[in-house]
Amino acid sequence: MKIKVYERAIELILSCPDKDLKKLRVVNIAQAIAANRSYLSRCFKKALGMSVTEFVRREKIHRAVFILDKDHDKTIEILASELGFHHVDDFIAEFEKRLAIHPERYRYLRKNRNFIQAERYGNR
Amino acid sequence: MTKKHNEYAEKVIKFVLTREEKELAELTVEKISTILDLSQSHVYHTFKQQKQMTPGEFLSTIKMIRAVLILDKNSDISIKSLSKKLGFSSPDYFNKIFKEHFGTTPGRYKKYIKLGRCESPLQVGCDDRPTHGE
Repeated sequence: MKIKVYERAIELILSCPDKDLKKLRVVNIAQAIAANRSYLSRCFKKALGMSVTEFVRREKIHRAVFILDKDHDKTIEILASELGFHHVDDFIAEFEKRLAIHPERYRYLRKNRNFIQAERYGNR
Repeated sequence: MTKKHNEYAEKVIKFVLTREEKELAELTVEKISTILDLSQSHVYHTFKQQKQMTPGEFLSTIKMIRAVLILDKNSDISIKSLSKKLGFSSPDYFNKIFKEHFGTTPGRYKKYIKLGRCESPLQVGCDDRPTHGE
């Protein structure tokens, strides 16, 4: 069975290690899966309703969530830069677009969830 | 819009994010509104206005994020029990929603977590990673 071009791109993006996510540009992806760049862009958009770049940005936010859950000390600035965001505000905006919350606030709530639960809603 | 209304979205977010799986699984926007003693329609409108998404979309995203966090910690969990754990009535429906969020099925995502993410696919090519359509 033939694997569709966009599926190979998704596979490549999702299996990419965190540290290499910043290298993921359409041109690299197309090259790695031996596909024509504009054909890949077209197929991807048609199948997923978003561009490859948007999908990569979204996946970066998912990885950020993983990291925020595990690493309580890493600053948002360093995290943003590791994921290849040029500016921390760009990262924060993308995070808020996806999760409706500031990444620092997200980490705070997740980290202190037991305490917060007990404090306000413990008896419900 | 009053200041009180502006806090609705924050209250909902705080409530949802501090839930454990079991409780999260049973949540709906209606239940959250009841528990927090807020009007459901006000929650809907203020959330949408401030966060550019509906509270239902937010809840769904958080459930899906939780799904991958569970997969990350315990990659041996079956998709069926994961789907059940998060309160989905059927694994098929869970698969569908998961795919909308991550572009692939939870089964494949699990493989990527398990096998991938250790070497750069940009350097090693695509041959040694899980294949589709078997």
